[in-house]
Amino acid sequence: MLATHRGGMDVGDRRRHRKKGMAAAWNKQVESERNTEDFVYSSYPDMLRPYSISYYRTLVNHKTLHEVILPILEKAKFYNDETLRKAMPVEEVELTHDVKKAREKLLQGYVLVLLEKGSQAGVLIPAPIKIGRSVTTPEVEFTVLGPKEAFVESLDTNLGLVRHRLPITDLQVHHFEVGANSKTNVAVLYIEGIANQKNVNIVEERIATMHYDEVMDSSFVAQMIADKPNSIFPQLLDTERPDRVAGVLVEGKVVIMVDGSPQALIGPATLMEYFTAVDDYYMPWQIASFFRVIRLVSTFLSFLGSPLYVAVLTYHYELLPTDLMGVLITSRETVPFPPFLEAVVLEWSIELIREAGARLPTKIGLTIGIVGGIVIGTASVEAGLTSNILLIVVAASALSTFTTPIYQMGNTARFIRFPILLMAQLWGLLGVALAFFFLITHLLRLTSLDNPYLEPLYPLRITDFKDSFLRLPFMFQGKRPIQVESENRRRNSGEDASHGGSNE
Amino acid sequence: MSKQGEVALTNLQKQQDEKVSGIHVFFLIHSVQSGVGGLSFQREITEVAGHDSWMAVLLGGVLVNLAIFFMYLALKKRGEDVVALHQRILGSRLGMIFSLMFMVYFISTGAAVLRTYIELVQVWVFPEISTWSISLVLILLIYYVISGGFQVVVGISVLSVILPFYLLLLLVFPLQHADFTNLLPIGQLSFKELMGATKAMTFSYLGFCTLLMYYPLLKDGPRTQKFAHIGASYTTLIYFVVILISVAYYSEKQLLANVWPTFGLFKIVRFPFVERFEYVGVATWSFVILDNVCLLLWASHRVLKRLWPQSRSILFMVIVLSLIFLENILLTGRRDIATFNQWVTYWGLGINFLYLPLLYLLGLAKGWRGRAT
Amino acid sequence: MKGQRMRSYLSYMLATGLILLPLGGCLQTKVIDNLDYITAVAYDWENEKYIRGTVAVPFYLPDRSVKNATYQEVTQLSKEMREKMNKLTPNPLVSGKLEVGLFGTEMARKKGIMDVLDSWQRDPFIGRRAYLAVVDGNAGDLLLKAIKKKEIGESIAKLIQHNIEHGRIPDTNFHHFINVYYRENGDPWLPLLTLEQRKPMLKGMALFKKGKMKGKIETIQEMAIFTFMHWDRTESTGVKFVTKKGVMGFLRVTEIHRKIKVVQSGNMPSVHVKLDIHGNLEEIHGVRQATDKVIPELEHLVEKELQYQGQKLIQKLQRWNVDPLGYSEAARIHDRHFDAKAWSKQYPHIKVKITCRVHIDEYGIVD
Repeated sequence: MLATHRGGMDVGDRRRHRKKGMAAAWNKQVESERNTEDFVYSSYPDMLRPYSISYYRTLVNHKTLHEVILPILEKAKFYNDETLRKAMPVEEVELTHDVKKAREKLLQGYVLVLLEKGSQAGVLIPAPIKIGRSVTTPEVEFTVLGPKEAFVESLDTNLGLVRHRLPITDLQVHHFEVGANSKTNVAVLYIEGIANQKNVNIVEERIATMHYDEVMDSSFVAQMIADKPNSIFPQLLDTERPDRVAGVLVEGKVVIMVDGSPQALIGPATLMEYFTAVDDYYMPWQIASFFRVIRLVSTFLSFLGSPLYVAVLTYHYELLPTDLMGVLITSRETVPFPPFLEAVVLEWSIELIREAGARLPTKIGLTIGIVGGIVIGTASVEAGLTSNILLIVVAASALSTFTTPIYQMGNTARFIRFPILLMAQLWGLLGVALAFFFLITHLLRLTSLDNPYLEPLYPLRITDFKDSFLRLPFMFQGKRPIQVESENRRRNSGEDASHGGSNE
Repeated sequence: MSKQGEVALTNLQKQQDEKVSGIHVFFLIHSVQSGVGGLSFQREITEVAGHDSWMAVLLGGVLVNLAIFFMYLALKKRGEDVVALHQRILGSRLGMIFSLMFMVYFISTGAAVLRTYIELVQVWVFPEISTWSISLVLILLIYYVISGGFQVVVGISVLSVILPFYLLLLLVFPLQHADFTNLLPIGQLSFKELMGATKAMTFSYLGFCTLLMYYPLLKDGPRTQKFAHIGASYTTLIYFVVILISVAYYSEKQLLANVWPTFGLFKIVRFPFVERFEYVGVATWSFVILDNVCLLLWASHRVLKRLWPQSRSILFMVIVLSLIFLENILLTGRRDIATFNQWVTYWGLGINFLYLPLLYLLGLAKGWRGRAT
Repeated sequence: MKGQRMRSYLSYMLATGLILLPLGGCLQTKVIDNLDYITAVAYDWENEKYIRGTVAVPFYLPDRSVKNATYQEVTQLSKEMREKMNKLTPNPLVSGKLEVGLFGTEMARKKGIMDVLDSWQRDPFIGRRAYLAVVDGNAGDLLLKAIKKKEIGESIAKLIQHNIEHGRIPDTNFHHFINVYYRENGDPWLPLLTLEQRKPMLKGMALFKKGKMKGKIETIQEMAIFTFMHWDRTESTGVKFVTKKGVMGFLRVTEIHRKIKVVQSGNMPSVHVKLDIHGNLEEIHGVRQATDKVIPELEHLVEKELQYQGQKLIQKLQRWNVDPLGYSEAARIHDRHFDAKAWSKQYPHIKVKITCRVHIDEYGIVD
């Protein structure tokens, strides 16, 4: 109701500027659109009250058009634009004299009805068609336990999914439009009174100053508003799970959702969060903590595995006990390459299999993975081109990178090992240590929405360990992490702590 | 180049505005104390005090705690750093000179630490590695840390205490071959020997006077005192454990024959899949020394910024790092390095245990006189 | 925003520099399959000035079997030897995996082994866990003549290691030898090996005075007694005993408590060793009654026997003027004014008294 009223005011304003009326201006417009195949313009000049109707065939819902709008135009008694607006049983009908605005609205699935007599305003009736899939199970962040719904491309659906989990009035949703061409809707979500206003301001300011013509996905936003755009580490956590979004909102974080993208962005993020799966909260805390530690350790080893192999085999044979050395030498006996080249070739082929698997449809991808993995692996060992021990190391570390619940972090982990590998070849263990030092310094310098990325390690906040390296029971999660600098640190304020433990 | 310089500068100042919380003082104190000193202090003190050298470790720890106590006493009233202290007590001209003395002290200590580590790498792992290449890489890393500002320097301190911690656990292996009767009979040294050993021990404890520079950047300054004491005591504890194990593991003259007894301890480590941890130890030690050098150079840079706030940080860092680079190249062989280290030790000793008490007394006297008039 | 971008370029520059710089300081690689590892080295007396060195180098074959190559050179210095041998080997020789250093008896007795060990100590690549041993006879022959199907160095090392672990000899390796060598009091010991049917065999102990070998213990019985008396071991060695009545048996020691008391009586100190031994009877010959009846008597007889044998061993050690059992160390611990020189002069003449208590706790799963 409010919106329509505002529309009416708008018309009153413009009437002063344009005396000629909308119809004449619109005819010019129609002329220029003649070649547009899906533009429909029908005029009924012979009627009692002559009117024309224009819309894009591909953008409007024909059911609404034929069953609601057209019958009204046939039957109802209307004398001017205002009565037509009132007669239309559709929300958010607007009146306008602005041709430019009418064009924009038409592109959003509106139907324009123009009364041709007098200087009447154009009546914009929304009848957009809903294109897109329905809510399905998560594929990137699949969990065995817990809810099985994932975001889809429609922003309204996604907002609905979140609202459904957080039926509170404090949940604020701010809309922005970004992209000169794409006109993408971006929503910033936070809970008032919990989220730190500073974080919200940073996000909104950065989104408002984004300048790009085509914003196709949330990852565009993530890359453009990141603190350090040139870092290979993702600085905003992307998720497709409404339960994770609801959880972090309650924790006091800010969520960014982009129309047309099934991935929501969460900030401020810390490195540790990329290793938390939503599952962790659906399992007993001991098991969840164990799995989390496994994930962390294996990711850590994944980018040290092959560099250490190269460093030790190239420079530090002393480190190997004699028994193990015999095994290693035997396995490398026929390999003509130095360990570095061997490792690079093998890492490369693993990346090849992964990339090929990602580009192909699921079923073929699976086959490619198996065929590629087994054939390349076995054949290269049998041909004496790689040692089977390195094959184990590389395969295990490739597997480890897939344990990260957030896909983007897995990519980063896979990328990092190549520079470290090079350092291992150049300076052995010292090179690995120095590369690692560089990595740590980089992580220390990194921020997410101006919040330190390595929290709770640095700044050291022991209390935040309760939900980072480990996942302690809900009993210990009575306070929100210091990291988000929430305006209300206590969870469940005013209620009994045993009830309503949120899922984050 | 100049543009980058300005950028680095603004960033430095922006980050410096953010203060760090008290618990980090623990790491700052502990990490700057544990550097290359931890590799060879056993030898230095056993040379003087024999198998009773562990007493010197404890005594040194007490002295360091005492020094920290007085530092806090001097600083916490006004929440100022040593530059401000100098200005207040010695006047602006003289104060500036003495502040510059601190700057040079920080730089030279950092240089000594860096060169000793490079020697370590050259002796233990890569005899053929060229000094210039490794020092250039280390210097670049140090620059990368310092240009991130105080926050990053503190972060490196924290992580370089946490990450190399596993090396301590490896001391279980020499323990299997240790003979603790080596420590007996207790108390066979004279007072003079004890003092001499304590003096030798202080090189390993030095560096904590960087506190004089970062004190104003601590949240809730006076409250951080307990963390500083815990940090210094933790260093003492670690050194104490290491000296006990060293004396038990080595016989006295064997210990003296070893230049780096701590790595000698790692030589006996053996796991089914890896043995001879001294190589891993040398690599890991890069963390221990880099944070040390970073903090010291950051402190020297801070002196500059406090004296001349308009000066250009990047220029200063480039000059200082090139000086250190030159020093690294010019010092060749163990004798040069040992001489340089000796020189830095005496300087540090003088500053920490002679100059600072004097300054404190002077400040006290001035306070009295101020009150009397 | 722009500043930020500039700064991250800076970090990229740094990263690239970090990776590219080491290229300038490129290092000699030591890829594990392009090296020849010296796993065992033997030093023999050639003449006053020269030593004959023999090294064993394993070759790992693709079918997981091992062959050993041996090289022999006569040089003055230990490192010089490696330089010479490098002219013979297909790959550079490295010492980082040295497992065993062997010394011929002649070398150990006449030249001493410390000259060689000096080069070992200086070399950071040699592990402190390497074993040292004296070979009864010619050390080089042990490497040359031993069966080469297994890795020689490792098999000798394992031989010594399991005997240490099961308590047949006191703990010994490169570190231990150096450790004791550097003490002002106490003398080092090394295992004594010999070649028996083309296989290395642990024969006994070689006893050193500083760097020179002075005497050896060869029989199993003496070795067991030596280990009993040695400060390093606390359990698990076994000893055969024969009493005067003809009862013979085997005792497995589970626990030993030693107390060494040094009494300064007049000018000459005297040492009182108290041994408290707990053990299990594993075999017994010549007893007709039920075992538990004879135990108290047996304990007494074994005590006597051990005391007698210990006394004999100590007399031997005193005759050689070696102190591997660490009695001087025991004296030092309790004496603030200990004079190492005076002690070593007195050592051959001091009185050592051994008191032994034996407790036979168990005697197997039959009565």
